[in-house]
Formats: sequence, C-alpha cells, structure tokens
Amino acid sequence: MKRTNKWLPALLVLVLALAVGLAGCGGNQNAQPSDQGQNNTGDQGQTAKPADVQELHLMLSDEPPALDAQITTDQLSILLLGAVQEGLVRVNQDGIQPGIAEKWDVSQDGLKYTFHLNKNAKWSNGDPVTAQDFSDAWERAANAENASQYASMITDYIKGAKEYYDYTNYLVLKKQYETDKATYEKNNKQDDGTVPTPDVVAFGKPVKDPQPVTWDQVGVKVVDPNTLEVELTQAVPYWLELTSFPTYLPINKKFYEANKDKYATEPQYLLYNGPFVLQEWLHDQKVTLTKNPTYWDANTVKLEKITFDIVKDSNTELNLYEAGDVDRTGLTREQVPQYKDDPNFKTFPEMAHFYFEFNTKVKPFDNAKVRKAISLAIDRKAYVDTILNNGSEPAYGLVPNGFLAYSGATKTFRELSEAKYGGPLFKDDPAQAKQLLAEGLQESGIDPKSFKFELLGDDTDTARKGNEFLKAMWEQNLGIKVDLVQVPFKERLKRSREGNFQVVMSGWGPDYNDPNTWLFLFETNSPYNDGKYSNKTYDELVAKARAAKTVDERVDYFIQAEKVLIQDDMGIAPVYYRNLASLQRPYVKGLFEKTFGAQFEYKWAYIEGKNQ
Amino acid sequence: MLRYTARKFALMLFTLFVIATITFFLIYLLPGGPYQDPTKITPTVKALFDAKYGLDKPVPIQYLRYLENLIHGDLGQSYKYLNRTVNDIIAQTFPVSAQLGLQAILFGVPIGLIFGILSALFRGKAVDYIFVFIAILGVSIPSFVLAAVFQYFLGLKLGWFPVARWGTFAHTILPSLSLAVGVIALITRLMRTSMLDVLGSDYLRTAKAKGLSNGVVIWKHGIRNALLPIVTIFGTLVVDLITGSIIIEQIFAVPGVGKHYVNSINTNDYTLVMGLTIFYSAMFIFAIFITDIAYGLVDPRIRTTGGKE
Repeated sequence: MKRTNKWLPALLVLVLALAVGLAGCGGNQNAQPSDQGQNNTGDQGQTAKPADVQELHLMLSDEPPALDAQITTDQLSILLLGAVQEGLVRVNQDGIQPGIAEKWDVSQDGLKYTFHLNKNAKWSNGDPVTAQDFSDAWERAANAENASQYASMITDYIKGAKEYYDYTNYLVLKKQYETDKATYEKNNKQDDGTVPTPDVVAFGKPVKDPQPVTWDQVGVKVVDPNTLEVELTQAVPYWLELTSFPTYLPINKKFYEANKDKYATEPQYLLYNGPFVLQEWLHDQKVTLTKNPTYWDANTVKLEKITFDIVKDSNTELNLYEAGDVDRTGLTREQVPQYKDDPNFKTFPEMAHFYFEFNTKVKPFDNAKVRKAISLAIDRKAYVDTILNNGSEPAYGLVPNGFLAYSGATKTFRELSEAKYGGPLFKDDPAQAKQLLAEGLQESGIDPKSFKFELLGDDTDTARKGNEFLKAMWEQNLGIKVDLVQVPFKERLKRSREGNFQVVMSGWGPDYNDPNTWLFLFETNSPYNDGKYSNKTYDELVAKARAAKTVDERVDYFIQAEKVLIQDDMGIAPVYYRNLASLQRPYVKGLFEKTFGAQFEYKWAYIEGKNQ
Repeated sequence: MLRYTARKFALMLFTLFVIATITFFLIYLLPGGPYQDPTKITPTVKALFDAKYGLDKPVPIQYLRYLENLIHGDLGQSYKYLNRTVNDIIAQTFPVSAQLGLQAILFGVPIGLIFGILSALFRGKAVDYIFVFIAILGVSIPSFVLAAVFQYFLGLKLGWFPVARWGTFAHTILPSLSLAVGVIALITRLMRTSMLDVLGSDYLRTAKAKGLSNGVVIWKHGIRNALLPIVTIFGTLVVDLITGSIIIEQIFAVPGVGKHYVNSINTNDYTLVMGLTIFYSAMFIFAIFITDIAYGLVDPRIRTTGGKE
C-alpha cells in the first residue's frame, strides 16, 4: 500500500523530467548550427580554409508562381528566370552585355537588328540555342491563343507582330462568338450596350473575311541557326535592353511540346541556357540554383550555388540575417531606424513613384487651381522623412530622380528637365496653396466653408500613417476637412478603375528603361489614367516624342509633355519616389540590383573575404 | 448503434455539402477577380482564362461542375500557381503542418495532463499555483508573441535552435514548442477542473471507504474518469493543430498549409480558397463524427436519446 502511494507521484515526476529532458536534448543536438538545413553545403567544416565558398544565401518573399517565360508576370519568377535563362543580351552596371547574341548589327535607321548568336550556347539537355528558338518563343508570346499578358512586349515593337496578334485574337474571339455567345457579349459589351463583332474588337474596325496572317509575315527572320534578323516598327532606343525581359527569352519548342502540361512546374520540366540551373525547387520552402556547367560563359560565373529560402515574415528575415543564415535582407520602414547607421545598410532607388490622381470628372477637381492647392499644401520632405524613413525622395515630377533620359543615356530625365526649366516643376508652398484653393473654389462655385474631400488610400500600416499625416497637413494648411477612405490594395485598384474616388494615392513602377513607360500613363485614352486627365497638348507632345527621329528630340518632347502635366495642370500630384532599404554582408560582391525585369543580376556576383 | 452511426455520417456529408455550397457562392463576393493583375488582362486573355478555369459557364453550371469534381476528389487548378493543382498544394504542404501539429500534441498533451493532475492533487499548494500560473500565461500570450520571443532568444541570441526555415528535426522544435504552449495551457486547465470534480465525487469517496489504496483510487477511478472531457475536445484539438497555423508558419518560414488559408484569399485564388475550406471542414467534421461515435460507444444515453428523435 505504502509503495503504490509513493509510486504515482514518482512516476509523474519521472515523465515530467523525461519530457523536459527531451526538449533539452533537442537543444543540445543543435547547439551550434543555426543553419542545420544547409549542412550539406559544407560551410561549417571549411571555415578554416582560406578560400571562400562560392555560395550566396538569399530569400524570396513567396513561392514563385510561374517560371514559364512567355506567360509569367510576377517579380519572383522573373528574378529566377533571369538567373537560369538567357536572352539575346544581359544588363549589368556597365550597360548592355552580350548574352546568347555575341554581337549584333543595327541598320542606319535603327529599324533592323541582325543578331549573331554564340555557337557555344547550349540548352541544359545539350541542344544548341538557335535563332529558331527565339522565333518560336516570340511567336508563342504574340499568338493571342496563348494568353500571354506581356504579348505587347513583342507586338508593340516588332514589325507585323501586332497584325499577327490581331489576327490570332480575331480567331479566339470568333471561336467564342460562335460557341459561347453569352460570355462573349458579357466581356465585350460597350458602354452604350452594343456588342461589336469579333472583327471589330480585334481590328478596331469592321473587316469582312480577314486575311490570315502567319508568323512568316512578321519581321523575325531565321537566316541560319546562328543568325536572327529582327525588323522593328519604329526605332526605339530601349528595345535592345528590352530583349533581356522574360517574354523575349528563347524556348526549346521540342522540349516544351513534350512537357506541355507540366512545363516549368518542376526543375526537370524546364531547360536552362543561363549562368545557373534550377537544381531543387521545394515548393513553399526553398529554391536552389547551381552553376550551369554548359553555359557558354561559365568561366565568368564564380558562384557555385545560390539558395533562396522562402520567408514571408520581415522580422524572421532580419533574424535570419542576424544569425548569419542569409547574406542579404530587405528592411521594412519600422526596421530602418535601428539599422540606419549599420555599415551594411544600403538604399536602392526602386524607381516606383507614388502620386495623387484627381478625379477630373468631379467638381472641383476639374479645376487646376484646386489640384495645385492640394498638391502644394503638403510638406513632401517631412512626409518621406517621418513616414517612410528609408531614403525615399520627395517627388516634383512624373519621372523619378535617377531615371535615365533614355536607355544608355548619360544624363537623367530630371537633370534635363531642370536644365530646361531652371529647376523643379513646382515647390511645396502652403501659403500659395491656400490662395489657390480660395480662387479655385470660387471659380467652381463651391462654398469654401463647406468644402471637404475624400482621400482614397491603402490600408497597410505605412499607408495609414501616411494618410493621417497628409490629412493633418491639409487640415492645418488649407483649413479644410479631409476624410480618409482606407481599403485593401485590390479594392483601391477597383475603385480607381471605376472612377469611384475624389483623390487617390496611386503608384506605378516602370516596365522598361524609357520615359514613355511614365508618360503614356496620362494620355487621354490610357487604361491607367484613372482620373481621366485629358489635355490635347499633352497627348500631342507624347505622340510627337514617340515619332521623333532622334533620341534627343524624343526626350525633349517628353520633357515638354511632363511640364504640361505637372506644372501647368497638376493633372496628377507627385508625392514621393520610393527607395528600398536593405542590409547586405560586405563579402557579397558584384551583385547588381536592377530597376527593370529581374531585380538582381547574379551572373557576376561572387563571395570574397567571408572567411577572414 | 449502426443506425446512429449512419445518421451521423449522413449528417456529416450534408454539413460538408452546405459548407461547399456556401463557400462557392461567398467567393464571388470577394473584390476583384481571380487573375493576378486585372489591369493587364485584355478581353481575349480573359476569355481564354475563363475557358481554362470554366468561368465562362453560367454560375449554376459552374457550381454543378464543381460539385462533380469534388465528388471525384478533384479540387481544381490553382489560379496563382501556374499548372499546380490544389490537390498538389495540399499534398505538399499538409504533411509539414501535420508533423508540427502532432509533435505539439505529443509534447503538449502529456505535460498538460501531468500539470493538471498535480495541480488538482496539490490544490492550494505552491505546485498548484505555479502550474495554474503557467496555464494562464500560456492562454493569454498570443502565439505570435511567443513564437517571436522563442525565435529571438532561443534561436538568435542563444543559438540553441535554428532561427527559422525547414529541413531537419531541429527546425521543427521551435514551431512545435510555440504550438505546444497553448496545448499545455488548455489541457492543464481542463484536466485540473475535471480532476477536482472527480476527486470530490461520491463514488470516489466510496472507493476510499472500501479501503482501496490512494494510488489505486486516483489512478483507476480518478484520472480515468477525469480524462473524459479531454477525450471530448481531443479530436477537434488535433485537427486544429495539424491543419497548420499561418502565424507560426510565417514566423518560422515553415512550408505548411496554414499560410495558404489567408494568402489564397488575398490573391483571390478561388479554387485554392474553396479547396482549403473544404479540406479543413472535412477534417473537422470527421473529427466531430469520430467523437460522436466514441460518445455513443462510451455513453449509451446519448445513443438512445439520439435514436428516438
């Protein structure tokens, strides 16, 4: 009896001790390494060796959704594709570098390019990379049937590609028109309730029995396996750089057809012709790239391996960086103050611009004075310093600071604009703002005492703080009341597109290295012109710029157009150009951060001095 | 008993059907469409995508088709992840979450039981206060705080465990522990109350009066009876834990299924939202079904009253 009496608590204590001990055991097993997941990489045991292990440890913020070059639209996939595949050219800090094309000739008028492909360029299955592979890929993107959302990357520039797209588009629409009229009508219904026939939708005008357009009629000629001729519709300075974008990457048609259903979903269902190959893709967890031994320029590539852990939480990212598990991390606004003086702290101009759009269809925002008042009343410097605090810059023009006047230019767009107009296009000026508001409201016949407006914005933490800040400045400097409407990103986009706002904070990032990526936004018929800003002079100047014969003339028209939009009309109000803050270990060298296409160029990156 | 089981089973299928239906129609109320960047989509691209995902058909047809696929166990293709099916995504991520959840259970439940029992046996003593205090802490500290603290101190500062990520057993410890704390707290409180209840009951007094030893009384009559409420919640607790936690998975960069619940809604990945809702509900309903059956077995009263209705 006595024995059992003692036995129970003893057993309980034993189990408890065991449980605690077990937890402790787990701890001891892993006493040193905080990167157990990588013990196959060998960087633990080799610390004594002087040579650096050529491995770069990075993170991705999400699982890359689609590595299919002609179909993909997201930044993460574009980033990885840039490392494992190669188009005609690559871009690094020194400008455009040969890719699969070892050299190229451009005709005098800039309309015809002849690319000479590197004979040593191979796919990872041993096939040579040929001119046909480029032609096949571009055909795939330009054929409406494949629903490539970046088809315009091809059809806007290559001669005949637009016609090819329109014809294939016509076929798709015709098929839907004949088989599923209800959906066709739903998708193509005009504002006045009429439904145009497929030819009108595809060609923009009625065409009876449209002539078939085949890919042979497009300005892409495969002269021989190593020579590709491309004819453009107009000489644009940035087209060559554009060929590094995923849509222009070649495809091995034979391989694609054989793996159609699974294409690009697992490492074995994709071919590689770039500096790296996709070695391992553990979904939602990790992507591993290793050096591609059959890459034509493998001697230049020093990195043996790049690992990307998929990490979504920004504090976790920072902790992994602090623990030495990764070599680089982005910093959020909240993390910046703590690391601002860290020697490894860096900021990078993302070239994204955030600005107010005014609904010019609604009184009094059709009045330029009211728009100017709202714009001039805020202190942009205070906004970026207190709200963003990551090196972001106040914006006084549509095209961001640091954005080149054209691809390959030595001067920035802003420098040229400031030289022409003797300074920025406007300045923050609360006093003038107040006066402009009074005048503008009087012209609009609105009682200044009852005037108030709504600012539509995002509901993220940073956006909320920023909106409150703006509200306070308007209320203080203009003596009016401002209501904040804060909604999720998608809802904000939806309301903007529907014109369901008075003033909205919008953002835009450039798609290619040319001012056109900004200035086309506010043409009268642009799909992104949510505030329906419309000015004939502006439209004409932008059109003239596009048709210009020389790059200097082109830039000049763009600069004039921007002045009309900002200085004359304040059709939109620039607020800030966003910068990104990050921490990067000093032993990471040669990692080039880009503004267009893939965010980073890894080909020339290497590790030096990690073991010292 | 067979009739009872059959009835419960039919009810389970019906509940699942209702959930599937409600989810299907609720999805259409989400703002925006399922495609990634609606601004870049032309009518043609939309037409082709609609055809691919069957969105071109009238809603009732879509609904029937969806139910048909569901019966065949096909949850459809993800909108966001090109060419990946919802079945694939669940098959790849669920085992990870399940591992964490089971580890949390295996670790948390025994400890919770021991804490609860000891608390009850030493009611009003220091042991009781300590364990109850721990339980209250465990309930009131949110898991994201706990996870962040574990990560920072045990991972980064002390270096005992990996800070985050996935791969080896070591990587599973901190996330499992973060999950287990809640389990320990819950079970401790429940077990303590239930044990006190049983300890004060007449039959226990009778057992003692019969001259049985203290150990036998507590072990055979006390703990076994006190465990009943734990059995009640056990099924749902397991399901809750093995289906993943977005917070724990985000913080420890664990490739589990939990984060997809929230992310799929943010990206309007219709099929993934529906697939996960149904997957989660099915597990949950099944756990309740099993609990019901177990009840029926344990307690005849439930069975008979249930059958009479």
